Amino acid sequence: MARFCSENCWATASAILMASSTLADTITVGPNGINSAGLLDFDGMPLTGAGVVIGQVEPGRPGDADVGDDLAHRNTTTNAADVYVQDIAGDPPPNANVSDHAQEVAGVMISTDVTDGTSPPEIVNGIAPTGVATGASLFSSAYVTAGINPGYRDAILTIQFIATRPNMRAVNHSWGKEAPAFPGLLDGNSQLTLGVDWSARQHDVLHLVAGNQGPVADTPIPKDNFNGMTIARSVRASDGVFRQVSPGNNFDADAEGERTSIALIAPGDLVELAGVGDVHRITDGGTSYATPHVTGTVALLQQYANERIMDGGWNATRARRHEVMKAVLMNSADKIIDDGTFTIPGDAGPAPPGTFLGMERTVIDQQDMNWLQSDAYTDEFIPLDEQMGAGHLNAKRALQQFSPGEFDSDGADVPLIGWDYGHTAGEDDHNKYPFSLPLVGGSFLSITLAWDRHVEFQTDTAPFNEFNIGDTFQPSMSPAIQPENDDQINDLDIHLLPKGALNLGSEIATSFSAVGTLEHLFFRIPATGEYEFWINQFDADIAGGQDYAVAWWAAAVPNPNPAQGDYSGNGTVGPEDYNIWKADFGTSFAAADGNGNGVVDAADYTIWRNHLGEMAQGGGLAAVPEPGSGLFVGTLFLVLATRHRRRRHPDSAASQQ
Amino acid sequence: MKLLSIVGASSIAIIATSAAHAKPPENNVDTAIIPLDQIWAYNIPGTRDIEDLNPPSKLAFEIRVAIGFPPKKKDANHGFTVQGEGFDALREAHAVFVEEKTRRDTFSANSEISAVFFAHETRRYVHLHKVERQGDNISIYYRFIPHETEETTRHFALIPLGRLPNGNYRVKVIRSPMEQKYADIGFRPLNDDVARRIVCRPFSFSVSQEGE
Repeated sequence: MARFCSENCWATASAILMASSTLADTITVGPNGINSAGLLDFDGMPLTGAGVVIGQVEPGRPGDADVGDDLAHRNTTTNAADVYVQDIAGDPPPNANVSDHAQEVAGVMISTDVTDGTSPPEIVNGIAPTGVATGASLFSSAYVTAGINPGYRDAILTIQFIATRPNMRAVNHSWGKEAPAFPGLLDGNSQLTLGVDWSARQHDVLHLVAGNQGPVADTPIPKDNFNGMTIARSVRASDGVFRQVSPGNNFDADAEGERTSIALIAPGDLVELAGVGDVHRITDGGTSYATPHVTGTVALLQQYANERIMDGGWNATRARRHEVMKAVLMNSADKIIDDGTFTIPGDAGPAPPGTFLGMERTVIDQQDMNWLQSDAYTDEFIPLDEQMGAGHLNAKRALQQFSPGEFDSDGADVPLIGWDYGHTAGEDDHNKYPFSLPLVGGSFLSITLAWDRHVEFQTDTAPFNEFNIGDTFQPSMSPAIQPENDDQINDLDIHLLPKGALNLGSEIATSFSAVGTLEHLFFRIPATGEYEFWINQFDADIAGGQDYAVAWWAAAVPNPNPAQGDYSGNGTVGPEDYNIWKADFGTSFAAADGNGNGVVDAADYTIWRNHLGEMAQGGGLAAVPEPGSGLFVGTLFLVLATRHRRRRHPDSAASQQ
Repeated sequence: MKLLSIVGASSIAIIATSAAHAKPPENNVDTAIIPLDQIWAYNIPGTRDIEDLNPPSKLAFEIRVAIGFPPKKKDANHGFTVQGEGFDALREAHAVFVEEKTRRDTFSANSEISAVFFAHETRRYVHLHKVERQGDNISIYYRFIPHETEETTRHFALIPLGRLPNGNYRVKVIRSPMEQKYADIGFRPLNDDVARRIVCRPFSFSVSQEGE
C-alpha cells in the first residue's frame, strides 16, 4: 500500500536545515513568522547572509557611523555596508537624509539586536528586533524627489546605482510613488515600473517591492512590476502565527486586467523595530516591514548558493539568477498546514501528513478563506491569489526548496524537489521534467515558473545601456499587457502529464495564465503514478526564445528498499537507481539515502554499487499505473473533464474549447 | 548640502503653523487656541509624545492596537470626551477604546475635560495643525500628509479643554486641504468618503453643575 513520503522527507530535511532556535523568541524570524532563525548552510554553519550583498532604495537612508552620522541618527545594531544619496558615490553629509523608516526597514534585514523591550514605555514581551540576515552587506541609498514632478527619474537613477553595486542580489523597496494617471493605470507602463523591470533583467537583481495598502485610493508604483516581487503583509491569527492577510492591505487598486500584484505575504503588523538612537518601537504596520523579510531571506539563500558554487557543485550564474530566487521563494510558500489536521473539502477525514508538502501554516485571506478556496486553486488561468499571492514566506522551506539544486530538462529524471534555470527556443518549444519517482495520489504538487518581460530603451543616450537623464523606456504597445499579443512578453505555461506523454493532449493539469510573467500550479495528484511536467512556450513575441526559472516540489511514495540501493523502488537495483542517486546527491531525499544518515552522499553510491544487479528483498513499490493503463487513463479522463482548456485571447474574451 | 525629506519638511511647516496660532487672535477675544504642544498625542508632530507620560504604561500602546483599521464600508466612530487631563485622560480613553466602557458625554463644571481625537490606520499620516475653541464650538483641524514610504500609521490625541462653563458643546473635526507641495509631486487628495472612514467624526458633550 502506497503511503506518503511525509515524516521521512520533511523531518529529515528539517533536522539538517535547522539548528537549535537561538532566536526563537523573536517572533517574525521565528517559527511563527518566516522561520528563518537557525537555518544552516551546507556545512552545518549558521546562515546569516554573510558575504551576500543586498540593497535598499527609498526616500531616506539608514544611519552609518562611517559617514559621520551621530548616535541620534543611527542604530548601533544595524550597520549598513555603505550609504548614499541618489547616485552619488561619495559619502553623504553626516545625518543628512537619515530617516526613521529607512533605519527600521534596514533593521528588519540586518539588525543584530537581540534585546527585549521598548522604551518608552517598557514593553517586555519576549520580542527583540532581530533582522533576518544579520551578516548580509546592505548598501542603501536615498532618492531625492525635487521639483514639480513625481521623481521617477531620481528613483530610477538611485535604483540603478544600488543595483550595480558589485554582486548585488536583491534590492528592497519599501516605498511607492503615485502612478502618473488615475484611476487604476497600474499597467506596468509607467517609466518607474518599466525602469524596475529593466533593471531586474539588465542587472540580474531581484527587486522586492512593498505592495498594496489602503484604504485610501492611492496607486503607488512600482507594485505593478512584472520582473520583481510585490509583497503584502500578514498579521498574527488567533493562534499567534503570522498567517492571515492583514486588513491593512487593500486590493481595490491592483494590477491592470486579470493580473494580480501580490507574490507573497510576510509579517507586517505590529513588528518590533530597531530605530535611530537605538530605540525599539512596535510599528502599527506596513508592507514596508513585510518586504525586507523577503529581501533578507534572499540573502540567506544566496549565502547557501555561494557555498555550493565555491565547492563546485552549482553553476555560478544560474544559482544567482533573480528568476530562480523568485520561483524558489514562491514555490516554497506556505498554503495549508501539513500536520494531518486539515480536511480537504469532499474528503472523509483529515489529509495525512505529507499531503501538503510539509507546509507549516494554513494561510487565510481577509475573509478567512484559505488557498483551496481561492480562484487561483480552481482556475488554471489564475496563478496567484489576489490577496495571498502564492502564500506566506517560509525561509526554512525556501531553503529546502533551493538546497537540492538545479536539474536540467530533457535529460535524466528529476528529483521531487528542485529547480532549474532553463531556456525555451521559441513558440511551441517545450522542456520536459520527468519525475524520478511515482507521485502519491491525493498529495499536492507545486510548480512555479518565473520569467522576465523585456523592457528596452525608447531613448538611450550615451553612455548606452545605462539609464541617464533624458533616457526613457519603451512602454508596451498593448493597452493592457497580455503575453499573447504584446511586444514585451513571451508566454510560458506549465503542463502536468503522465510520464512519457508525447504531446499536450494528455495533459492532466496546467497553469495557463494569459497575463503576467508567472505561472503557479498547486494541484492535487489524482492517482498514484509516474508523471512529468513540461514548460511550454506558447508564443514568441520576443525573438530568441525565453529564459526562465522553475521550481517544483512533490510528494513521493516512500521507497521500501533504499538500504539495498534500490532508489527507484522498482524491486531491482540497476542504472535507474544510479540516476536517482546522482540527481539527489547532496540532498536529504530519503528514498535515495541508502544508509539513512540524512544526506544522499558517496556512501549511498557504494550501497548501490554493492547491490547492482540484485533483486531487492521485499519487492518494489506497490504497482504504479503507467500512462496508458486503464485505471490511470480513467482517472485522467475525469480530471480532464473538469479542467477545460479555454485560453483567453485579447480579441476574444470568450473561452475556447 | 543638507536635503530635507518630505516628512521632515512637512513637520517643520506644521510646527511653524501651530506656533503662529499659539495666542488668541486679538480681534476675536472669544476664540482660544489650544497649542499643539499642550496636547498629548501619538504620532502627531508638534504635540507632546504620549509615551512620555508618567507613570510609564502600556496604555497608549493598547489604545493604538484597539484603534485598528478603518471600519468596512462605514464611517469611523465619533470622537469623544473624557474626564481629566494627561495620564488621567489616557486612562479614561483606554477604558473606552480597550475596555469598551460607555463614552461619557456629560461632565460637571468643575472637572477637567479632554477631547479624544483619533484616526484609524492608513497609508497617510494624520496630523493636527490647529485646535481652537470659540464659545461652545471646538474645532479640531487636521490634514492628511501623503508619503512615499509604505508604512501605515494610527494616530490619537488627548486635547486638554480645561474646566468649561456650563453648556452644550460641539466638537467639529475639520479636514484642511492637502498642501500644494504634495500635489506638485503627484499626490492626489483623498475623497471625502475615504476620509470619513479614517478620521473620527464630530461629537458633542455637555457641562452642567451636576455633571453625570
